[in-house]
Amino acid sequence: MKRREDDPTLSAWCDSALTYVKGKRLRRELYDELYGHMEDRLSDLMAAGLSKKEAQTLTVRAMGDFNETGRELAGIYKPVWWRVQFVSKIVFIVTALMLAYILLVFGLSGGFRRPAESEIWSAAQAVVYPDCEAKLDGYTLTVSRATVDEGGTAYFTLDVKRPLPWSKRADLSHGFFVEDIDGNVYKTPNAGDWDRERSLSVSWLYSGPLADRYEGTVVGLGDAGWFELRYSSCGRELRLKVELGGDKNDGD
Amino acid sequence: MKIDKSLITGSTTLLVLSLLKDGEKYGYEMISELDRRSENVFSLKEGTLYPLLHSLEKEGLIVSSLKVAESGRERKYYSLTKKGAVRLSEKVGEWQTFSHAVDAVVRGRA
Repeated sequence: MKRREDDPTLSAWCDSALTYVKGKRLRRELYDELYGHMEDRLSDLMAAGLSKKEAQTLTVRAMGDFNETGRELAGIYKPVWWRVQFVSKIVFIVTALMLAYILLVFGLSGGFRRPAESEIWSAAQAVVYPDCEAKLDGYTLTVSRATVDEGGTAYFTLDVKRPLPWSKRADLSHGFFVEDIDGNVYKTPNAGDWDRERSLSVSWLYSGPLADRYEGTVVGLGDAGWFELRYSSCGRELRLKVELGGDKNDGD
Repeated sequence: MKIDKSLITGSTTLLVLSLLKDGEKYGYEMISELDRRSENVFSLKEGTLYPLLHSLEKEGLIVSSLKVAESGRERKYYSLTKKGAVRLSEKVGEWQTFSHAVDAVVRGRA
């Protein structure tokens, strides 16, 4: 706490007393007050004719036991300061751990790598349906874009918002299928009785801090105007109707 | 004349609040004023004043502010709050009752 111009004898008393007190800012304030007091006493004693050495000795003696003063001051401030410091440390550690976890998870999973957009989105008509949203196990699924090419293959992007930033990426490789207007079913390759001519594939594209993006392809839709992306397993149901074409909101 | 320290200990709050009754003061000023008014009878260890001041401030009986003293140095001035003034009048009442009773016993009055 001592400043360059401070008297070393006086500041030594203050520093010794303040070793009991926690908190740099509080110690600084108390030091200034105690040192100021001793400085005034020293000045008065020297003005009364005492030598500096004598005045220093009497000033320190007049202050009394630094242990007593220090302990009493620490007793006044300890509870609040320790609580504040303790809570601040916990908040800091938890925040640091969360950040480290998020950085680690996304870094290792290549989440920061955003691949180049597929050419189909610039070549074909893309349509966004903001209300095309459903929930499954806390995950929110939204078809953000959909389009179909001349060969009857539909493409769509599926954004999956995680319930918490550190939740695992949703596994979309099982349980999903597509049904078209005529009741035809399009399944993923890992499902039973898979038909190459009418098939669905969903693959992960990249992850953001709160959501993951997947790209899906439905082969063999023909000129169907819409299809339903469905999930059905263990009593859990999900239906997302995806219209192809039309004049709804333009894509991003 | 030196007096028993324990007699002062129970009265320090009353003494400090009384010193601030006439206006704001900083620590050294209070000690000097205490010496002067008590004719050096209440010469308490100066370092013990500050824990007392800080605990009174924490209780809301006094408040502090930094100001430049006559010496040109910055000092922490303390002043009475409304709550402190009420506590002072209570303490003065207690002290008068106590000293009257002690006096009566010591002098052997009925």
